[in-house]
Amino acid sequence: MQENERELVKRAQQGDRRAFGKLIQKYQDKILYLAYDLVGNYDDAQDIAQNAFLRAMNGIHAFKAQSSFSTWLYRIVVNLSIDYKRSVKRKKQLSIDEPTSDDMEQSYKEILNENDKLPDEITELKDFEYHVQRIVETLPQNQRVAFVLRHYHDMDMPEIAKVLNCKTGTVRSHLFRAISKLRTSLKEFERS
Amino acid sequence: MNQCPQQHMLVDLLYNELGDTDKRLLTTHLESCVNCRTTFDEFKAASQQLSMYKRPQPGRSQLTNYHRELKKLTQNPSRFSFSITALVDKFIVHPILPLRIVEYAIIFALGIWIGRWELTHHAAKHSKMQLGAIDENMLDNFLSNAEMLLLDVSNTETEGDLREVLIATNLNRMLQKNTLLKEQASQMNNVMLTNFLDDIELILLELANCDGTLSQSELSFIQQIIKDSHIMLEMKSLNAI
Repeated sequence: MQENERELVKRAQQGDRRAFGKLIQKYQDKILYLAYDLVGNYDDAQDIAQNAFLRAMNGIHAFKAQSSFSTWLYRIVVNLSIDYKRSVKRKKQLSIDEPTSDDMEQSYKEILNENDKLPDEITELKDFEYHVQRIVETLPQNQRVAFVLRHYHDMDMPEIAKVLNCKTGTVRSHLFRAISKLRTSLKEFERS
Repeated sequence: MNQCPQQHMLVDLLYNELGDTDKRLLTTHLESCVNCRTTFDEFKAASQQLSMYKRPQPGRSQLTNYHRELKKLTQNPSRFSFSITALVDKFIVHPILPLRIVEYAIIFALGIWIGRWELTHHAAKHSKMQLGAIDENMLDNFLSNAEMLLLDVSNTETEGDLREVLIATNLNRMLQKNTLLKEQASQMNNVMLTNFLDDIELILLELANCDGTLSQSELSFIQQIIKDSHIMLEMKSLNAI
């Protein structure tokens, strides 16, 4: 599988767009979800993901295969998301939007259908989802990225270090602090 | 609260990223350190709680639209721009080492060639200047003035007319120019021009020596010199050159 991906990357570097199309197909959903996890809404996440693939396509010749293609792609998404967050902050827009979009509604409907939970449980779950999103969003930038990549995208610490362009020890420290803060916030949530 | 040095390693244990030896050592440490054990238990509980979080899914239409947009990215390929980018990257931005060496060698050779060309070009220009190239403007000017003067002198019938011609002509200035041009011609080893200027100088000197006391016989003598020296013919051929 990995060999196949390497072959696709090589072909894409030689200008084969069909090969790049296959790489897009492979990563399109993961990239969208990562962007969502970092920016908190699907409209911007879609823009970021599309932009990331465009950048990857234009810069694939510069990809040296020192890391895996996915790590390289994730790094592009993370950088774009950080830039987006900065621009939002600069424009003094709301950084934490309440996720009450159609997407959220649909998601709760799916949860309701799938798990056949009682209405109280659904409300509780909705609160919980919202709370988790909020506390993750309030984490400092690098801690948030490290946590999202480790917890939601199953990347190990050396890989995260490559994405963040830092040492594994730094990632460990980011994760330690992130989990400490999340633990405190979750305790407060339980108490409330 | 003092932290154990191993406390940061709890994250590795939580995400199962420790080697067997380290895992055993840390587990042993947890048995004896209440602080670390409490922290680890809380981390574990928080992690389990967080794993209950389910990311909201995008709307179906949004997802379809997203996939369609991405598909467009690789369709209608502008292969040309793609190839240009690839070529620029391959040959200029990130060339392979042998290619980079060749590029440097070419740039070096080009620099030397331009330097040498500049040097030789300037040297040639400089030496030409030093040799004393003939001032063509001055020569043209002088020849046309001389031609007019000689024609006037040849066509003059009375000494009174000649006197008027001489008053209108700055003979001293013409003699100075003639001397300068002769120097330049001899430096350039232009024998024909030197001889021609010698002949003109002779006539100019004769005219200058006339002063105010000009007789008909002197006029005839000067006209004869002009006729004998075929100077007008020489002047025509020189102008043609």
